[in-house]
Amino acid sequence: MRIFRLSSLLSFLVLSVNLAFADVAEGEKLFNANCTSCHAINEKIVGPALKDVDKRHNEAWTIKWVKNSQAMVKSGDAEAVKVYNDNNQSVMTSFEALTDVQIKSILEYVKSGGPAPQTASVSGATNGSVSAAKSQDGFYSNTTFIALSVMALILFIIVFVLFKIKGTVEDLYNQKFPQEAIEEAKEKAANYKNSISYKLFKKHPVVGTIAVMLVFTVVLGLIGFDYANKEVGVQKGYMPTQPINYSHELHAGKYKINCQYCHSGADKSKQATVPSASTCMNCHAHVTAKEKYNGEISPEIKKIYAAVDWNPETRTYGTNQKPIKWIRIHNLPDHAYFNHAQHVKIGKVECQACHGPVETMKVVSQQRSLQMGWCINCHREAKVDVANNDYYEKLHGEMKKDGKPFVTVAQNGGLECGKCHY
Amino acid sequence: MKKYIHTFIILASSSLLISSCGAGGEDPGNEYAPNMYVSFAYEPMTQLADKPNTINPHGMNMRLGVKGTIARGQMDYASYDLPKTTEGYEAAASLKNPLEATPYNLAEGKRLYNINCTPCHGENGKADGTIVVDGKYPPPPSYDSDRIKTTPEGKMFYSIKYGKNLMGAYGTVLSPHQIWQVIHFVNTLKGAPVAAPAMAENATAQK
Repeated sequence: MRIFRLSSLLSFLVLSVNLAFADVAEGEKLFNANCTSCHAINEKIVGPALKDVDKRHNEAWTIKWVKNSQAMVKSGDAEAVKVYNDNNQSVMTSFEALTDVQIKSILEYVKSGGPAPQTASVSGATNGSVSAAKSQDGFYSNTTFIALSVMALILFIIVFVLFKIKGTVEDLYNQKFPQEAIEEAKEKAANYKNSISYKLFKKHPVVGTIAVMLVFTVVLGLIGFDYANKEVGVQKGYMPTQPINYSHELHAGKYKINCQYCHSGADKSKQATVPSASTCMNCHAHVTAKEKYNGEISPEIKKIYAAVDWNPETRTYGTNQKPIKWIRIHNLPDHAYFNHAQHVKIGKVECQACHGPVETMKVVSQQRSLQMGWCINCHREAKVDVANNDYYEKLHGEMKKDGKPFVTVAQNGGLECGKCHY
Repeated sequence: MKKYIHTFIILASSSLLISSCGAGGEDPGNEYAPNMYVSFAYEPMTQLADKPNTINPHGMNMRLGVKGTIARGQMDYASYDLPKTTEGYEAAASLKNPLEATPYNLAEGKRLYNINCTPCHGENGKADGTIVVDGKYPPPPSYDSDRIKTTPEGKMFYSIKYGKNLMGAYGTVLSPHQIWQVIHFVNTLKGAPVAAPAMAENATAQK
């Protein structure tokens, strides 16, 4: 009751102020609350740009139009019919609740030119992220590789020179003390007869050969196994250039747009799905990043427009639509079954658990190996939150009876071969 | 000395050979027995460059459904077929929310709201989403404004399904059932209903 009284008092105050004079600040508030979903001051959105509207139409006409434009069009007002036809005959919402003074305030605000454009913050953010993307290359960048090769070459030369010097010094020594050199050679020969290499290769060549082959096989086998295990069919580190330079760092990181806004299949199907271009158009029918490209539409956003055949001037779609050829990064072999809905909706696993910190990536790369051992490890360790999950109501009841404190995916049958391979 | 050089060459070349086969950058790396990796059937979200689809348009594995088809268990798509015109919007006013505002529906509505609506409308529906605050997108009307409070549920349904003004269509992402769940949650963000005396004041002010 008290709140109600307060609010009515407030609205009375606001009204009394409004009745006195049209106010720019009040106009800004009203403009943002009622008009911005169709109008901007300096550009055409759904409705026309409002700049100089006070010069195009007289004030009384504008007020009447805002309150109920359709009635004016139907009554055959020539000016109204022209505005209606000039804007694709899209109907403007009627604002009969706005008072004359409120509309005048909005017009005052429009006359004042609206907020000043802000671009400074954006450039700083992009600079920071570029350097972050570069540091990802790290060890494998070209300059480090060249530097390392040069260093290796120098080391080889030094070793070679040292061997040469050693040989020369030995020769000199032998020339100076020929007697000692002969004795030394004898001693060497005697030592050689006792050495392993003599016994293996001269006395028992078969044993020696087998031993060497065995060592070779084991070493090569280990290298090969490690290679096959870590490299073959493992696409960790794969970072292809996508057809559109889309930054997850900007959309998911800076603007905190939920992963499932675009990958809407993740909670209801096997696939997380690559979004259709219409999802991009939810925002990019309006957002063109013109401020970054000197008033031109961003070349990357233009690629979306080309794909859906959208004309930003007339705001209409054409019929010549082409798919965008996104490159899939995370692939599982056909013989392994994976279902997103199962993990996202029921298991409530964070996207980042398997895809890494995508919200920090300018260009997405595969962060996890997606190998079976990696899957199984999580199935063994991750505890399923059965308590707050309708899906596991029955299981939770049984667990309570048995007195089990928690359940892992493995205990729930997550290690059965047939769960993923069938 | 010379025998060492041979060993060096063999070791260096074999290590080069091995290290160049893994994935990295543009290169997805090598696969052993690709027949086991690649599905013989066309998979909708997998598109192989060397095996274009010979049947579908654009060589794509995915394709649009035949016009008028509805997936199993989603018959409610058919019950809300409104024309995308002003008349359709007005006609939607008579639609009623078929769901009860149960805790489950509200929780599900909140989850979907947080995924699909928050970038613009903000967590509390006050038009303070991240892209609006940053000035990238014009603010939508706040849910606690009188205009939205008095908007019938049916028109909200229409706006979500088909889009309205600058708002895009969400009918491709949310099923009608889910849209009604979102509407239940949005109703909780509207605050107290519009008080009758306030309306009267507005009316007198107009005169």
